[in-house]
Amino acid sequence: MATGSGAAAAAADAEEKESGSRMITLTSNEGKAFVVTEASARQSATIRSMVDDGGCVDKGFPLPNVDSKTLARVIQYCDEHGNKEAHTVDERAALAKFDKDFIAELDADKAFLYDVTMAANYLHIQGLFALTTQCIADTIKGKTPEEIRTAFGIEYDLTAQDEEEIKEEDTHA
Amino acid sequence: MEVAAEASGAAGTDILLSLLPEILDDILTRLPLKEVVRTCCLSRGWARRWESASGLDVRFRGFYSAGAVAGVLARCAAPVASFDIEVRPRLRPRAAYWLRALAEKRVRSLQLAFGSSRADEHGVFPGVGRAIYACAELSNLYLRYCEVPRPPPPQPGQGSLFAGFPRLTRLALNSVKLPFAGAGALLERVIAGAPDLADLLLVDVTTGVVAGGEKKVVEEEPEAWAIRAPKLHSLTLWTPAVDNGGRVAGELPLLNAANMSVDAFLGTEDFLDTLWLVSRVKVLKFSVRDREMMRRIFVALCWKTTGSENYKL
Repeated sequence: MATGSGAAAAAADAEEKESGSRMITLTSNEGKAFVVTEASARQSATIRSMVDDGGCVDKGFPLPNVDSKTLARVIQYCDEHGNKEAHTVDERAALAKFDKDFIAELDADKAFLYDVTMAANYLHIQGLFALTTQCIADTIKGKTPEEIRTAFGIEYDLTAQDEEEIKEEDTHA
Repeated sequence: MEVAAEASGAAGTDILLSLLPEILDDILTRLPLKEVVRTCCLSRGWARRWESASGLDVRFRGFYSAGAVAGVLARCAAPVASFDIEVRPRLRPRAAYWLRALAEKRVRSLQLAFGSSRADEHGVFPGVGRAIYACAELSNLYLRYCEVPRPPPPQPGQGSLFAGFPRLTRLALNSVKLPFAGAGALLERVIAGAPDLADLLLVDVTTGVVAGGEKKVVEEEPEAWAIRAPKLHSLTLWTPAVDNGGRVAGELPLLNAANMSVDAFLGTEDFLDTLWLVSRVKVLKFSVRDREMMRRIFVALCWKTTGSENYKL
């Protein structure tokens, strides 16, 4: 009895270990395969639910909406958040530092920032999505309309009449 | 020329408008309300874009116009994440309209802080609209310096009494009057009807009918009501000088911090029971107006509560 339950526990342990170290293949829209740990892949709610629903982990997951460059960067984030612990104060501080550097680098390349934002939305990676949308919001914050137009390529197409109407509404709102 | 510009479409070059709507919504909800509304003058495509962003935080402080509040509430999309306002004395009558609009927009967090005025008659508080009972999605409710009306009578065939706000996690009432019979029972239902309530603040909350006007308070036993909130982390309980009948009942196993001032029933059995129920907290702040009484309580505390780490009296 004692040995039996011991063996069962050991088997469960082994299985647990295996699933913990299971590798998952993600394929970009250019056909490039990225092999990541399951813990890393589970940062994405989209992939997490496919894995939990018994999706074919062995065949991997094609991601037709994400290119290789973007996927590589997204995986960098998932690896950091999925594979590392964040229990102690120091560990959490290290992760916060990673996020700060990660987003600062993205912020310098706006077009890439939007690609990563869209990928984070598509893959439902909540932390990464919040990080990127906050960064875009910070770009808008405190700017004049003219500065916002320049920053995001917004064409000024309001006629004098439009402006008048907006002003009218503005006094009400 | 103009036709050509319109045909090519602003969205083609406008990076933000070419993002998926849900992404842009998320970005907009991260901006202060003023800046969200101001996006209307960026371009034609932006004129009404902000109105469809759900989950906005609507916040007014200092000098704002009543028209600005009404305009935003009329135009913004549901659900409204939060509505946080300091109600200037002149704008008090508007609060009822705002609440009606907010109930319709399924507001989740409501903070109404009424400002007082020198013209206020002593003991007469500004009223808050009945529509507050229709804000069924509330997870946070903060009211300061106001009078809450009796809940609407039950609709025929639709349950009986107002059952509370099931999603509430924080309830804070500061200088709030509930001047009607059954007010204590109502508070009891609201607190018990919120299974995830974590933060409760009741400061100078008066309940029940004051018969015979201001001066002639009929010396009656206050209607007894119970605070039952098993998931409470933080409790601030400052009873008014006249006992409102509210007592902590039942265990508070998750309580971290308690801040109490309960002179109204100091020295009674109820007081000891209350002390016993909160005695396991980490941080306990106890204020007593009577100095001699305070010393005796301190002795009692030191004797009873060995598990706590921090007392402030």
